[in-house]
Amino acid sequence: MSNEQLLEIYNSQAASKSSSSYTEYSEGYQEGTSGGDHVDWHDDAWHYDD
Amino acid sequence: MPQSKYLSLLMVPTDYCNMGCKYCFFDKISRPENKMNIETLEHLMRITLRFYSNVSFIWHGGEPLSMGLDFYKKAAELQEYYKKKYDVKVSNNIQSNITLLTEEMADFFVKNNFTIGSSYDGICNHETRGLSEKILTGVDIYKNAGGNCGMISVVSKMTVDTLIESYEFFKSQKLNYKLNPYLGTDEELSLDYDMYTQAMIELFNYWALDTDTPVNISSFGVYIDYILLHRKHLCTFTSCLGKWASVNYNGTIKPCNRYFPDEYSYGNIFDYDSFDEAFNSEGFRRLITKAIDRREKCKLCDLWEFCSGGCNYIALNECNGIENNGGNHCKFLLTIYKYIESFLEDNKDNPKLNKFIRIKFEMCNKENVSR
Repeated sequence: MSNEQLLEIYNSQAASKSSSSYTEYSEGYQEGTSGGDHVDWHDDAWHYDD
Repeated sequence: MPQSKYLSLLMVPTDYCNMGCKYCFFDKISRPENKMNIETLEHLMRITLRFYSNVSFIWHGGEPLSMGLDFYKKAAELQEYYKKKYDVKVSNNIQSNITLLTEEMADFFVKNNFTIGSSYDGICNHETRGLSEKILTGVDIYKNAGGNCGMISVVSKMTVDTLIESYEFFKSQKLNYKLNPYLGTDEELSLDYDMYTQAMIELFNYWALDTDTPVNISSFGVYIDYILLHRKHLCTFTSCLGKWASVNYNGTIKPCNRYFPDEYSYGNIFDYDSFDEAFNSEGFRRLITKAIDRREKCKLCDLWEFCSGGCNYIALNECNGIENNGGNHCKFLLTIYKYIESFLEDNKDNPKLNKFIRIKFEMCNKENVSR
């Protein structure tokens, strides 16, 4: 199995019933297909106004 | 491999740091000469900014400001070049001890949208980190330039019984903060997770009903946002693989800034013409195969839909393997999530709730109406 296929499996695991429901309420966020600007790093502290 | 639109890079331009925090593993291996050179910086920009629509650079370390201002001016110059040629959005964030920040640096970072976060261990900072006055002076320099930063506060055996006193300190400074548990194995610092869980619940109760508090503790927002709004926004609980990576000063690519053995290395940036090729590496394959195995186990847990299997580093560190689950962090999450869920249900009409929670209830109500 290729790394690409493994990545598809990994992303699909989290794209469950609940995941699709929270994309509905959360502007722009999609589990498995996005990241970066919508996801915070565990060690960041620059979101001072959250 | 098809490319993700987004890439978040945890940059380690140096592993040198001018401080020696008790819980940091870098101080045992770092050297001042371990610095990213311009050739490495240029190659990294070349293989990322031409191929992704959004690239987030998170400058970490070591101490990132020890690289000096010219390094970041060069990074910004290269980014501008690629932004003009390609349709790419770029963000820059710095996680720094902020003691080396000068007014000139602060002006440049504010004008060029490099946001800064720092770290401070509340009333125990002088014991666990040191340079307390310099850190707070750095925060003032940044604020005077028009910036504003929050703090990471590490919870360890040395600080776990002072969380409320430290909260009062952060209030006095009007500094928002995030609490991260110490994850290492040092006897002096290792947490008793029952004690940690209890201390975090006590702090949550204290903060949640501190009606006029000006301080947000974003560690609790992670749970509140999911419970009330079904929003997840922390790398720990999303699918980080294929979208996040760490780049060392010499170009070595690892999964994260948290320590992973060399068997999970994704190679070196000079091995690749496009950063996406790193996700075809053997190291990535080893990691994702084990992460998939863990997620299959995690699907049986009540908290699966919230945590999506959690952090690979935490599994490796406390469960003796990325494919394993059920460690202390899992137990902590289960307890605090259920506690906060129950608290929110019981207190949704409580007028004493602080504004950070009230806002989330208001957003929740609006979304329920519009659905």
